[in-house]
Amino acid sequence: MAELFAYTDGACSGNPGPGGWGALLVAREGETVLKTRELSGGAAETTNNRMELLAAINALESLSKPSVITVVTDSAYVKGGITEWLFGWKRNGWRTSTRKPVKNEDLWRRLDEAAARHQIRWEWVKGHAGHLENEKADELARQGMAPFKR
Amino acid sequence: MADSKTLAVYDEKAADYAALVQTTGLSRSLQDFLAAIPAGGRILDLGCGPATASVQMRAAGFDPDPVDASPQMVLLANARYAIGARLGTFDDISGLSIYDGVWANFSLLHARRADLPRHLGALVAALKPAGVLHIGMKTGTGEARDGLGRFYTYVTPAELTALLTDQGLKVLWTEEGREVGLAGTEDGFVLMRAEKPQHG
Repeated sequence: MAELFAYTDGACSGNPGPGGWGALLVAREGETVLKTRELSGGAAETTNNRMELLAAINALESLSKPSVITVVTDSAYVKGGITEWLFGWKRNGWRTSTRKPVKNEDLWRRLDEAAARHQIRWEWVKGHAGHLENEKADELARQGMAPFKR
Repeated sequence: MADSKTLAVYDEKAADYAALVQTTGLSRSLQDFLAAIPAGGRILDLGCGPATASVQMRAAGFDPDPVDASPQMVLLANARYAIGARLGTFDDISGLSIYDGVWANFSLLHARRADLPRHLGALVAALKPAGVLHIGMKTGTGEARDGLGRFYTYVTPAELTALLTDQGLKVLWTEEGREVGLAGTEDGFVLMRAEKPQHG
């Protein structure tokens, strides 16, 4: 049985500013890599958190059928949002505990919808700490940002 | 010049292809593209094939102009959807400032590399100021025919960015994907959305 992993990262030059996102999907059977998929993209004017969210969203949206998958992100914002805060935001009609509108609500809704199709284990890793696949996701995010660098 | 072998494949396989691209709901890239176009805007659907994108544009309240160089595709699109699809090659695009958007989703990849600047120039001329172009291409280098005989030009994302900016467009958004299996075969794509300047 193949195991599926998605390594996701976002990058932004200035906040807001030109940004990119990257996702490396790997299907492994034991030590053998069966298949990899690289996704990346970018936008002219965005924020780091939006790119981190889009990396995870695009990774999940790219799966053609409901899957069991481990999503590895270096974003505490994404990990915390999806595993802890999202439930409360939805209950409060997309308001935070201090009744402020949730930032990036459009993308959180999209992530929530994409995540609902799959069985996901969310994992956080420290960024830029020599984690091979996270480095690759970072490289993809930079590639996604490249067309917009001023 | 339109590639006759490529057109012959689409003519022969029109119905198969239509079944293949039939999708439920709007693709994310089409949804984001339409969000950047004024309500009711006129949109060129270049290389429309069975016109599935045009049907979705019409349903969303836009005014699509579906064009394809394969007579069978045009027949099929009109028989199925009465969408006003018309026969035309990339070289038949000649209007000035008439479209709010151009949807060129995996169509210009059938043009020769040397012809891409000319075709893109015609699309930019046909766009209104602040009009939006969506383009999808396969990534790689060189030109080749696939197993069915269709002709393809492959571009790198950097090359496509340069092709668009050379025409005065501002790239707003990109997306790339690449997949490698055990056999090592690679299939990559790039999508870009770019805007024509308001002035100039």
